[in-house]
Amino acid sequence: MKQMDWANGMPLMVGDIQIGHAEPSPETVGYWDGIREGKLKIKSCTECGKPHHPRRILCFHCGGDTFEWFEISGHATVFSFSTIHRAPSEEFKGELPYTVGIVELREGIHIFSRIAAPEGREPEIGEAVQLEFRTTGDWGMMPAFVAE
Amino acid sequence: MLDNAYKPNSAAIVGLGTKIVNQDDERITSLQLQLYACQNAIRNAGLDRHQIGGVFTCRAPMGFTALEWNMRIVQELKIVPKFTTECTTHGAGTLATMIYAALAVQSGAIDYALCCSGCTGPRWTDIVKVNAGVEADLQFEAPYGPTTPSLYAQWAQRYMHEFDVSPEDLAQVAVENRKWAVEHPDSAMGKKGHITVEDVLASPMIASPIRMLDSSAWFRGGFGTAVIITRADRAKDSVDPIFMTGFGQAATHEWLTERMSLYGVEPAIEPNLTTTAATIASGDAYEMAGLGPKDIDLVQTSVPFTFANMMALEDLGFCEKGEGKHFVRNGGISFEDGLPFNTNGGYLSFGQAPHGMHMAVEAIEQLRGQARGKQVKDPKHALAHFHGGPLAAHSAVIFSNRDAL
Repeated sequence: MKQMDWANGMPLMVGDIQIGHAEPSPETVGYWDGIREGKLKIKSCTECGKPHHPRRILCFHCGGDTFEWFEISGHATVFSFSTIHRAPSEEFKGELPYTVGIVELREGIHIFSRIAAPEGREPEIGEAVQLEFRTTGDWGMMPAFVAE
Repeated sequence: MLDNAYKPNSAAIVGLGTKIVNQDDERITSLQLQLYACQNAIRNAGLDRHQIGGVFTCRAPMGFTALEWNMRIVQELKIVPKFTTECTTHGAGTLATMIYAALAVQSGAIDYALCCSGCTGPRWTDIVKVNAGVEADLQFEAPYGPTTPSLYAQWAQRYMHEFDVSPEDLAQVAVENRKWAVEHPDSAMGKKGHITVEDVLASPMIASPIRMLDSSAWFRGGFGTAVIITRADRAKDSVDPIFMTGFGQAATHEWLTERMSLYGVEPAIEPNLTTTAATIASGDAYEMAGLGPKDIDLVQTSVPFTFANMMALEDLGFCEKGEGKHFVRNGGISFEDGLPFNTNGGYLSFGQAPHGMHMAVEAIEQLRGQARGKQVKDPKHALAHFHGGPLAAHSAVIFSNRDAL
């Protein structure tokens, strides 16, 4: 798995000079801890209990600013998708063609992921998909959603 | 609503400067490109540079990391603006520079504002890689290998699904855009000649449902632009002032997936990927101007795919939501006798020249009767719509010439 220290972020260096600091995000540590355990976790607001995308810092329902992590059921439907025929970088070339898309989790939250349909066809909008961990690029096992 | 904030036509463009470099020209930086354009605009307006009280720039160009881009412009011009900032809503911010300038000069805080943009990034950096890095969420999208087209394609897939839009319907947009590009000497794709619906459908799939010819072409080289904006009363002696009649802006997200967590508010009463905040930006612009889509003589939009052009026609009010396919099928944007739409060829066929200001330049030149390509007959009002991010940030300006006042 790619060694990304999301809790502390990554210094952007030009030689010995630091020109910035990318993506320090202690608020997503629980998500990445879950990934390492083969679990997909999202957040719920400890004030109002509403579920949220793992990124949230503030609850836009009640204004709460504390969250709990919980593991999702794994059931989802395809909201949208695109099958990629030109990779963004060398890292993903070997997997072409592959499908990325947005799924709606049974918990009501939309997340971006890989979507896999049986050989030779694309997924369909509204189709039921199930969470399964699969390798993407150099990232190791990441959440994917697989159609029957 | 901004309708109490600005009186229609109270600010005008009185100077326009461009600097165009082609792929084979000597490599210059985005900073050089913009400064040459600024110099041209200041000369065109007949100003002493110290009269400039405001400097509004695009975000730092791709391939040129700068902490504060506007300050790089200011320090090179050796001027002392009282108002200056980057307008950082991606491509929408480029047009927004003019909105902030209009509000600043109308208020009386400053007399003249300089707005600039332009990028030679593709000559210095692999823009495909940079784009994928900035357009996608590094943690929640990038690990799955998305490309920029595949992010826009999420909208395309929903749009085609919900409104039963066919690839043929979308292809027609590319065909019409190309016709304008063929007439324009600076367009990237005009030299390649006309295309047919069949050509679009036979072009390689890059991120379904988007094919190569559904996509913008890169304008190789750079297109630097600067304008000088002042109050209308100061524009009296100007040869060809272009007035800012109405404008609006609205932005919804940075990353695509986050747009799905936005709901309960326009343009996402329900979570959706079919209606953009261009509805709000253009709605405010029309209301401020006291005009409607029927009054508009030509439209320029910076959206980079065929489906997004069709959605823009809906969101900018030229037809109802979901009716874009009928509008286009019935000749609504016909080069021959439809609404003049992307009259330089648009992003698809003029090319995508970051940060998109070439689309506003086209509107200004058309309104001045100085089109470099096909001139629209006696236009009075032009609508420019700029967007940035994956259909995330939107700005709209209605420009008018003296004939309209």
